[in-house]
Amino acid sequence: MVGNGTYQGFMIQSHGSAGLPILFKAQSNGANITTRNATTSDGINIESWGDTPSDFITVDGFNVYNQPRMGIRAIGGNGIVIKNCTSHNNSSNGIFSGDTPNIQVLNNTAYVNGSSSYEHNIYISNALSDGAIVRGNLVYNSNAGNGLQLNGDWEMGGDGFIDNALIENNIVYGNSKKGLSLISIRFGRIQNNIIYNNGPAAGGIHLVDQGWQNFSTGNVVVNNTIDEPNQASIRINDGSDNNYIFNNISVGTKGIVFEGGGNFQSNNYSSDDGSGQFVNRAGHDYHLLQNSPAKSFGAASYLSKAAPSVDLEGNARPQGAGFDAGAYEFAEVPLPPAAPTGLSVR
Amino acid sequence: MVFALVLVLTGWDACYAYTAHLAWNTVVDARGIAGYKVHYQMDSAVPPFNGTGATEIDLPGQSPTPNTDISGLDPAHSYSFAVTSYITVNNFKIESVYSNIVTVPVLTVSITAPAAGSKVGGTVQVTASASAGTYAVDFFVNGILQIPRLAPPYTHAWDTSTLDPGSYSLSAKAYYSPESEIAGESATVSVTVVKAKNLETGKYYETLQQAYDDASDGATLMLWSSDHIVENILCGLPKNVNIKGGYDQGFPPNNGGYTALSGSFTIGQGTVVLDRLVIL
Repeated sequence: MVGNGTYQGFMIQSHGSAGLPILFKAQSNGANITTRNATTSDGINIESWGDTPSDFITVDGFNVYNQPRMGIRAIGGNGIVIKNCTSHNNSSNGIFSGDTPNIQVLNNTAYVNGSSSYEHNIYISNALSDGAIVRGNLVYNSNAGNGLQLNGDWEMGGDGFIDNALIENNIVYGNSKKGLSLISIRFGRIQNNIIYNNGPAAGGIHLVDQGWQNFSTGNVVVNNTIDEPNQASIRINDGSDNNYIFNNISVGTKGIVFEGGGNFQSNNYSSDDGSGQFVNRAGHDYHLLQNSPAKSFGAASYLSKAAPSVDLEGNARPQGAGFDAGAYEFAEVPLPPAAPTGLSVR
Repeated sequence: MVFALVLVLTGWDACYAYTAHLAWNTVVDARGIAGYKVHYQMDSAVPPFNGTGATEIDLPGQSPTPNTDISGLDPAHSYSFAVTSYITVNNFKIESVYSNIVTVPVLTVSITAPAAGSKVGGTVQVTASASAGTYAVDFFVNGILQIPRLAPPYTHAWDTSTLDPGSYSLSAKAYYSPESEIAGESATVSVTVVKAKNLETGKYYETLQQAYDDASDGATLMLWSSDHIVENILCGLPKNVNIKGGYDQGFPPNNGGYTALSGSFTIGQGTVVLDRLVIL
């Protein structure tokens, strides 16, 4: 437990176990890491070293900013959890991992990070990062790169794919490049995310290859709300195939773009301006209106791929006549129960 | 420290609070009742029960006999109660409208007879007056319960015949329901139990002997109807005295009853006329 205050960063080269992870927890979210750790140029660095994998480390609740390189960095450990942290105004990635199987990046806030298009607010990289979970993060206003990037990166070894990633319940907006840049990922699920107003030359979700190999394939993109007035809401490049795109809301003139064949889509509600759909599009409240055409526009499943059973806020799907499109299921108000009778007081 | 402790205890003793026991019929809903809420407020029966003086209690869970107790209620205020049921959908509680509203009024009660300071004896009719909403009244003498849960018109025949003469405190409590703790308390009325009255002087006596000794020639001493005087009387003065039993609280007239007399009764001088006395 780290008390409130301002600290130099720290580097972790140790490991816990699945049942007994090592926890570094900030008290009351008031522990600020403002200078780099003594070894690397990062704020918090979890680094496997030789035969010492930094497995099962949890970092919880720190504020990391103004670092000369990355805010929070994790290399090579299994079962790492980074949660409830805020990482901003760092020169490189806000939160970064490389070859981290089963990493979980949960409920963090990352903004105004990076100095180049290769540096992002959150970046999960390399082929050993299978099973990554990126959930509940608020990701916005990257300086030059993407909001959230996953990259299997065949040049860095392994099979060159990140398999079975789960990217859900994130709010991603205003980033310089893409909202979600998903390079060489397979069999992942991207669901219940809100994505809007990302780079004018980039767009919302981009499923792509790396250098014309290791095409992203077999992913399910379902029940996301994407409002990208300048670029495609969902773009799948030529060669990436067998991706299933359904129950999404797409706002913008470019819409959902398949540059090649072999992908599948259904029950996506697309419009140019989103009028009549949302509580307050200008204020980015993408809850559905009572009479939104996206209500019950979705499907319970598509080509044996199931829609999520809850929405971004944990509300059950479906409500009303069927599954709604987008990240929010409209909360139908049920009739109240009967009033009690026979109240007596003695 | 001792002084402070005394203050605390005194203040505590002065704060009387009651507990209301609420019960209502269970609500059945196919979606599953997730719980009930009790709403109550002070000094107003106008819903909704919110704002100053209002309280809401969440009671999660279902029960075949839903009920709850609410303690710490001030008998100087009225309280209105209502209950709602609710279901839970997506972590939101969907709540019913109010049940019937039950208002527990401020209960007031006072002893209307006998009057404070009265001289009484025999069988005394003690009467109380209670405010609307009163189910029943308890009578107390010197703090000891005489008659529990007396229905209207709240009149109790208090038998003083076996009591020692002297001062007694009468009080009453008005109750909201048969088993309720909800009560209003009366002020205390002090009366004096006496045995005899001199008709001419209007003076009361705690014993017949005192009345005889103090009586002038030709005096009449009146005794309570239904009273039982247990004394050894010695009439040893050269005077004529009339001793009459069977008087009611009005003194006179004689109500046609009798007064019982136990012990010895000796006439040494003068004349004593006994009327409506039963010598036991």
